[in-house]
Amino acid sequence: MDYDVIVVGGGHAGIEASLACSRMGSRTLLITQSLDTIGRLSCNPAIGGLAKGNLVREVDALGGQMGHLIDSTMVQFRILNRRRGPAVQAPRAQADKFSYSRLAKETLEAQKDLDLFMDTVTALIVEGSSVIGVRTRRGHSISAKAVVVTTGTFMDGKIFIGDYDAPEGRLGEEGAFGLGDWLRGFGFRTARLKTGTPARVDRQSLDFSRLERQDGDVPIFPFSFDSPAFERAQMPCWIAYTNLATHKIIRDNISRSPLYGGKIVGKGPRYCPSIEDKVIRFPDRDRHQIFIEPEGSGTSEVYLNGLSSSLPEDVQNAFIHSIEGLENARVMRPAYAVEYDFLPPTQLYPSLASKLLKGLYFAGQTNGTSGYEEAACQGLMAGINAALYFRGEQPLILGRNQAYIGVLIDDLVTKGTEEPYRMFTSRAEYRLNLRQDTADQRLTQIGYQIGLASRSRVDALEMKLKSIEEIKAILKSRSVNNANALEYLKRPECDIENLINDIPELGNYSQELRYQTEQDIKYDGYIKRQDIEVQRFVRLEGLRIPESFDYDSAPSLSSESREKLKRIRPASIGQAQRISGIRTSDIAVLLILLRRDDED
Amino acid sequence: MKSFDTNDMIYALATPRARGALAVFRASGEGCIEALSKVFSPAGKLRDCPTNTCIYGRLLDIDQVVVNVYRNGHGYTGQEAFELMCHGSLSAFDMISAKLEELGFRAAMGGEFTMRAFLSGKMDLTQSEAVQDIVNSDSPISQKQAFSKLQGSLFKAIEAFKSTLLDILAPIELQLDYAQDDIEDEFGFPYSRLEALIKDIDALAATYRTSPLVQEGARVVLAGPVNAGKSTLFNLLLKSDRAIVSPIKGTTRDYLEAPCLIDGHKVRLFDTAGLRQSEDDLEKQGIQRSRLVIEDADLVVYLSPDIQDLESQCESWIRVQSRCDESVSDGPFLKLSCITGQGLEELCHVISSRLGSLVETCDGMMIQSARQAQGLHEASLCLKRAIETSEIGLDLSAGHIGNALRCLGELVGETSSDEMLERIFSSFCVGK
Repeated sequence: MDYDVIVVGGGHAGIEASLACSRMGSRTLLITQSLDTIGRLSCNPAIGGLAKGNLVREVDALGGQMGHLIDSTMVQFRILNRRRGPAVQAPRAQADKFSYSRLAKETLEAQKDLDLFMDTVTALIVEGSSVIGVRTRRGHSISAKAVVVTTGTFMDGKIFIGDYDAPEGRLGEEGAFGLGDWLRGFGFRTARLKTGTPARVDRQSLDFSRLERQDGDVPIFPFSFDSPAFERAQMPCWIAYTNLATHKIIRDNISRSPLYGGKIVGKGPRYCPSIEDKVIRFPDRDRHQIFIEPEGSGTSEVYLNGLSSSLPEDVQNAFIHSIEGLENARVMRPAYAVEYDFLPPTQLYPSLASKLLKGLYFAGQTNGTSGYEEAACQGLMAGINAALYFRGEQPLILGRNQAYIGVLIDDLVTKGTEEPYRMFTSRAEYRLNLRQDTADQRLTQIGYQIGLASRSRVDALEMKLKSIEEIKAILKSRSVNNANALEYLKRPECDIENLINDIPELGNYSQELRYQTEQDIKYDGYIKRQDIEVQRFVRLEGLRIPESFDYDSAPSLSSESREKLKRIRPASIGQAQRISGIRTSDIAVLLILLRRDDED
Repeated sequence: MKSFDTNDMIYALATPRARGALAVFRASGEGCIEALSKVFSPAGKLRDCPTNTCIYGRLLDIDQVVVNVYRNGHGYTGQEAFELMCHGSLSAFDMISAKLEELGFRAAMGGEFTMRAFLSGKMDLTQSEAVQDIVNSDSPISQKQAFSKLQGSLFKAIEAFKSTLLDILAPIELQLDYAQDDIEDEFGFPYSRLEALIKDIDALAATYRTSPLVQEGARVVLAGPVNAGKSTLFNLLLKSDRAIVSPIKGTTRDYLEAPCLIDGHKVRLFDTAGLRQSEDDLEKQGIQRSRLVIEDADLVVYLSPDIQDLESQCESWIRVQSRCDESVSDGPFLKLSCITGQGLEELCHVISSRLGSLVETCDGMMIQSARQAQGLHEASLCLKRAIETSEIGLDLSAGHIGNALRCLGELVGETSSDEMLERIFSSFCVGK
C-alpha cells in the first residue's frame, strides 16, 4: 500500500481533507493538477459571511485549517448583522488571495505524513466493492485504502464568455477529463451545474471620488478559536451602482448570452444571479449594488462583486463603463460562466462515503455545493471519515442540532440539490443553538476525541466556559438601576458594554467574552424552549435503521416511498422523515417493521 | 416537517363525547405524570406514587377526578401513562382538553395508543390496523379529499394563511440570510400584517368552539300529531328499537334523544310526544317539553297524515305526509311510509341537504376536528410570540413565524425551507 488515504484535488475541500487525514495519523497523498493553484479563491476574495462564517468557525473548532488561513491573510474584517440577533450574525473577511493560497500550500508542505504530487487522476482502481487506489494521466497507479474526491468545478469543466468556450475549470486552467467518464462507466450518476464569476479590473483605472467607501470593523475578532486577538491595517471596499443605461446595454445584448441562448444546460445558483439575470428578472429596479473588493494588497486587480456575467467581452466592457466611477475601468480578466459535472449527493451516506464503493469519499463542489466554506467543511468531514475508516472506527456524523455542517451534509445526502447549494441560516431548524461564537462549545471536544483538535484547544475552551460563569456570577451579585444586573441584561435595549462603568470588574474580561455572556443571558429562555424540540429530534435520530434493511420485504410501504427509501437508505427514522414526500404512515410502517426485525 | 414521534405526550378522550356519569381521558408519553401533577392536587402524591395505583384528587379549577397511574413498562401502551376519570360533562371535556394541551400534550391520532402498545411489545396485533387508523386520522386536508364544499374551502383558507405567512416571513429571512448592506430594500417589521393574520386565524379557530352543530350534531326533531309515526321513523333512522311503538295514541310521553348519522351528518335526533289537547297531566307536561325541544331545534321534521294539518305548519320545517301506505292523497309534500320504507331515502336526502346548507351559513367553513383547531391555536400563539420577541432579535421572531408555518403545514402539507428560499429569490433581488 503506497498510502493510507489519497485526496484528489487541492482546493478548499482538498486542503481540509488532506490535513485532517494526516493529522489523524493516516499517511496521505494529495494529488492535484497544479501545485501552483492550491487554495485558490477562484471567485470573490472573501471568507465567511452569514451562515458561512459559522461554517468556518465550526471547521476551526473541530481542528480544521480555514480559520487560521483567513486570520493570517485577511485585509478587512467585519461582523455582519450585529443588530439582527446573535443567531444570525457572522464574521466576514476580505482575503489577500495570493497570501491565502501561498499559506495554504506552505501549511500542506509542512504537515507531517502528507505528500503532494502533481498529476491528474483519470480513474479509480477497484477490487471487489472497495476502492484501492487511483490511476493518473501520466500512467501512475497509486494504491491506498481510501480515496477522497474533491474535484470542484474541474470535472469536465467548460467555461463560457459569449460565443467563446473552452474546456477549462477556471479561466486559463485546463479542466479534468477522464474521471467523470470513469465514474459514469462504473455506475455513478453525474449531472451539470453552472456558476459564474465577475470581471477583475485595474484599481488604478477607477475614479474613487465617485464611489462610496466601506471600511472594516475594529476590533477584529479572529475566526480561529486558536488565534490570539490581533490588530491589522485594513483595506476598504467600495460601492458602485448600475443604472438604466447599464440595464439597457444588457437587455439589448441578452441574445448573445450563452445562458439565454441555451448553450449552457447546467443550473445556476438563484441566490447569486448573474447581472443579466437580475436585469431580466427584476425589470422594475433602476439600479443594482456593486461591491468593489480588493483581490489583495500586492495586486491592483479588484473584484466587481455583483456583476458576474457570461456576456461577450465587448458587452461586458460597455456595461462596466456605463457605471459611475468605472467609466474608464480597464478589465484585466473578463467575467465568465463555468459549467461542470457534479455527483448528485444522494449517492452518498451522511459520512460522505459513496454508497457504491467502500473507501470512496466525495466532498466540496463535486457534491453540488458552492462556496469555499461549504467545500472546506465537507472536505474536513470526508477527511475525518476516511481516516476513521482506515482505523476501522465508526464515522463521525454531526447532527442538524449540533452544527451547520450537520445541516449541510444532511440536506445534501437526504434531499439532494438542483442548484449549487449554499448555506443559509434559514436552512437550520435550531439556529439559536448554532451561534458562531459557540462553535467551540459544540465541537471542540469531538475534534479532540477523534485526535484532530489539540489538547490546548480543549484547555482554552474550559478557560472560556469558566470565565463566562465568572462574568455571570459577577452580574448576579450586583445591581444596576435597582435591578439585578443579570436580570437587567435580559432587556433587549441593555448592552453589557454600558455596565462597565458601574461594574468595573467586567473590564478584566475580553470584549468577546462579555459579548458572548450577554447573548447567553438574553437568549437563555428561548434556547431552553428550543432544547425541548432538540431532544425530540435527537430521539428520532437515535432510532437507527440498519444499512441492510430490506425495503422490498415491506409490502405495506407505499411504492413511491419504497423507491425513495431504497435510494436514500436513511440511517435513522429521523432522516427518513426528512426525505421529501415520505408519508407519515410509511414512517409508522417502518417503525413496526424495525420492531419486528428486532424480535427476530 | 411533519414529525412522527412515538414518545411525546398524547391524550384522547377514551369514552364517547357525550353526557354521562363518568368519562375517561387516556394519556401516554414520557413525562406525562410529572406534567399532570402540575395541575393536580395533591401534586406530590401523584408525582411520587408507584405504578398501577389510583389517586383521588382535584384537577385544579376543573373537576374532582381519579387518576390511574402507569409507570414506564406498565399499562396499555407500555409507556409512562395515565387514565383520568372525570365527570361526564361536555364542558369538563373541553376544559380538560385545553388544560392538557397547555401542559404540552397533543391530541392523539386515531390508532396511536395501539401503535405505541405494539411498539413497546405490549400487544400483538394485525399490523395494518393501527397503521391504517393513523393514515385515516392523520391525512392532512388535501385537495383530493376535499369531497365536501366544507373541506374544500377550509383547505383553501389555511393554504391562504400559509401563503400570507410566507410573504411575511420572506423579507424577514432575507434580512437574516443577507448582510444589511447587501439588501437595498427598506425593512420594517410587519406588525400590522401579523396582527391581521392572527385575527383571521383566531376567527377560524373560534368556529370550532361555536359549532356544536358539527361537533355534537345538529338537533333534528321529529314532531307531529299523535300516531303520525314519529317513533317508528325514529327507530328506522336509528336502526334500532329505541322508542316504544304502539297504535295507542300518546304512547310517547316525553321526548327521546339519540345520536345518529344521516347521510354522513352527525345528528342528535329527537322523538317527541304527539301534539294534541290532552287532559292527562303527565301527557300535558310531555307535550310542553316537546314544544321546547321544537323551539330549540336546528331542523324540524313534521310528520302528519293530514294534508290540511301539514299546510298549516311552519314553512321552514320539512313537512312529510306520513302513513302513505294507508291512504294516498295528492299534495306537495314528501310522502313516507315507515312500513314499506317508501320515501325514507328521499327524506334522508332532504334532511342532509338542509343540514348542509345550515352549516354553510357559517362563512362557508368551519373547523371540524380538535387537531385542526389545535393547529390553528398553536399557529396563532407562535405569531403572538413573534410579535413579542421582535424587539429582542429578528432571529427569534423568525423562529416563531417558522413554527407557525409548520403548525399550518401539519394541516395542509408541509412547507420546506426550499419553498421559503424560493419565495425570497423570486421576490427580492439579492446576491453578491
